[in-house]
Amino acid sequence: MVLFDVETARGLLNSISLLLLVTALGSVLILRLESSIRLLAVQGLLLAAAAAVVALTTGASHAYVAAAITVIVKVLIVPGILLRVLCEIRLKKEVEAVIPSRIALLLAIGLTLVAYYVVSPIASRDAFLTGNALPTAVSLLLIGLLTMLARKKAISQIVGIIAMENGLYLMAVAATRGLPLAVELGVGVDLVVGVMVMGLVTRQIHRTFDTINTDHLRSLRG
Amino acid sequence: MDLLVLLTVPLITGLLCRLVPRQSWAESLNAVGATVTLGAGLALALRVFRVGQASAFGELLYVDALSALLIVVIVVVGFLAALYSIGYMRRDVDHGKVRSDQIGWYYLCYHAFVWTMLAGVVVNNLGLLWVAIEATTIVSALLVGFYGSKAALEAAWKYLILCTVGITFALFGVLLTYYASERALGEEAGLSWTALAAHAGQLDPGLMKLAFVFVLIGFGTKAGFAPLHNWLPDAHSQAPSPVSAVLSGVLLKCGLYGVLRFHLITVGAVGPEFSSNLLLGFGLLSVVVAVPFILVQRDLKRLLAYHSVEHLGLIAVAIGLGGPIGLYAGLLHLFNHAMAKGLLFFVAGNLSQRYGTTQMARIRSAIQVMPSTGVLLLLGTFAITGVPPFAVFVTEFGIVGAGFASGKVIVAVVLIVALAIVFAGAFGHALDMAFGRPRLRLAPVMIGPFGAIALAVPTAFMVLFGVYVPGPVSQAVQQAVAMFGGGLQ
Repeated sequence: MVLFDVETARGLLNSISLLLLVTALGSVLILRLESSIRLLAVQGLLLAAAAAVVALTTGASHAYVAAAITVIVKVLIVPGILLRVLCEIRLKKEVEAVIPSRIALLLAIGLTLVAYYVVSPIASRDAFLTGNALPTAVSLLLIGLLTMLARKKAISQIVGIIAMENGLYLMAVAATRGLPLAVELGVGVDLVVGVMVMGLVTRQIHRTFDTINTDHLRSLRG
Repeated sequence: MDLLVLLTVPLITGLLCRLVPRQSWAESLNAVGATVTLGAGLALALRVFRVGQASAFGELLYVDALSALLIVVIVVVGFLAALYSIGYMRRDVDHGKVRSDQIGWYYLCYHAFVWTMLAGVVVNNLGLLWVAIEATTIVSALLVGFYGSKAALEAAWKYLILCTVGITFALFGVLLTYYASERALGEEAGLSWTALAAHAGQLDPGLMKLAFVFVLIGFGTKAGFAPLHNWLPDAHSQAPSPVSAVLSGVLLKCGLYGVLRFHLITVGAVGPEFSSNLLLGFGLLSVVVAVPFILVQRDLKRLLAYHSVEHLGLIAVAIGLGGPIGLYAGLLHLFNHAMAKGLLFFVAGNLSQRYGTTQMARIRSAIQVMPSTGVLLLLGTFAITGVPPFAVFVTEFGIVGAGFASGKVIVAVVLIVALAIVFAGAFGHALDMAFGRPRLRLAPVMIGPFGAIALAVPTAFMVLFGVYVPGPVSQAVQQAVAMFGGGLQ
């Protein structure tokens, strides 16, 4: 079934990319872990919508499956696992600000500008690539990295990794209409199992160190 | 057939080990499963070296000489470490370091870990290669953190986070490659390695250069290239010793294998200089960075981990230099280093259980306390530092020779100086541990028949390949060399 022509699809992908960029910039300001996990689910939903747009434009059946996998993995399972871990370790102190959030926001905006500046020349070479999707994808990647550097709680680091992965997912959707189905499935399984193992190690760290601040993990040197 | 056995037996073995109620049953299953995996892997490799390639499921799985070489390294070290695990984990249970009911879980993770590495080298798809390499991190992190101590958890966490972030960059490279492939070859080619290698000349050179840089960062993190190696000494020192042997001897090479696959495509797309020079640079940096850490090291297992940074660097230098000698030496070094490092981590396992520490200052008079282990410590140190007549000497000599042969005299001189300093440093550490006065009375540690096999086999290979590489082995390596088409020269 082909519902959209390429122009409509491009417009829709542009809007979805902008919304994703807003969630990425917003994630820098959000300090409550629970909210940042829920924001990941929102990003997942937007990514699934992007995959669905591609599916409805190209009629490729694997794109429908990809959209479904995205909903299951990124909206339901991964945030679910993280919320459960959060619930089990019951943090005493929520707020953590290594970099004040206003400065972090400025940095994130700066990274976004860099991404647009660097990527736009490449993006314009291809018809299907939309103006916004590729630079947004790179912005998500860089902001995810910033989150990991700026926040020390183990769960924040996991959130940062998933945000980076979301950026790559958007790039895959926009540049190549999604990855081959077998790879898509494999990446999904890796993400689920990876988050499960990271959650497990986070719980063990919490039990052993009585904190999930990764600053306390620095006894191994040299 | 052998391919299917290879891809099912490790998983079945692991699951059964977890399900059986008794530790002794899990141990027997582990030994049987590892033996079958070894047999299937060697049979497959032999078939590939004889007929050139093997594939299954319509080329979804594809094994050529390069992957066969990796399969041999994985199954041989995997087998030895599985045997060594039996006695080692039993002693850990006796010492109260591990509960008896955790043993099944250990073997499940261990065999799943071997399975992910095997899957990585037999898939004919660069995307699935990425999936498998990421899976190796996830599974082996459980083994790194197996002891659950503060240090082990710290190492497991750093390993998970740094390698996952690193490998995210590799996924970016994979996506760029897919983008280039879709534009040039259409959707059918996908990420199939065979299709990409055959049509590499049609790929956009600019995109492929960018892709290679990201893949090198990503898989290079897994291969332990400096300056991306920060996780490595922690993970390799905190894991149980048999796992350390696999992490150092095998897993790093699976990361390198990922780099090499993209290297071959990049060479086809943009010519040999670009990716070869990057490999040469990262390799040389890794060798040089490892040297001071080896000199001042206090912990035996961290010392061995830094040796791995050095040797993976050497292999990268060899591939980067190219030429028939360099490539041959570099690829054979994959195996030689795996044997030497396997042997040394088993020795380190024996010593650490006997002395109750991996601090080298507290390991003294090993020759008297544990005669066979002490002798093997000295022998293994000779072997890993490239003293003749051991196997590593031959391949290191070849790599340095390739430096001179390709006119890169500076590279060769830097390698010689670095190797000489490493020899002096490592040998000093080994002498201190082997001789000197024992400080305390220690309970004896029984190595057992399986442990003896695990120590004897790599020693035999170190000596044999030092004086004589059998014809079929050298032909097999030559087949892998031929895939690189001579490299830079």
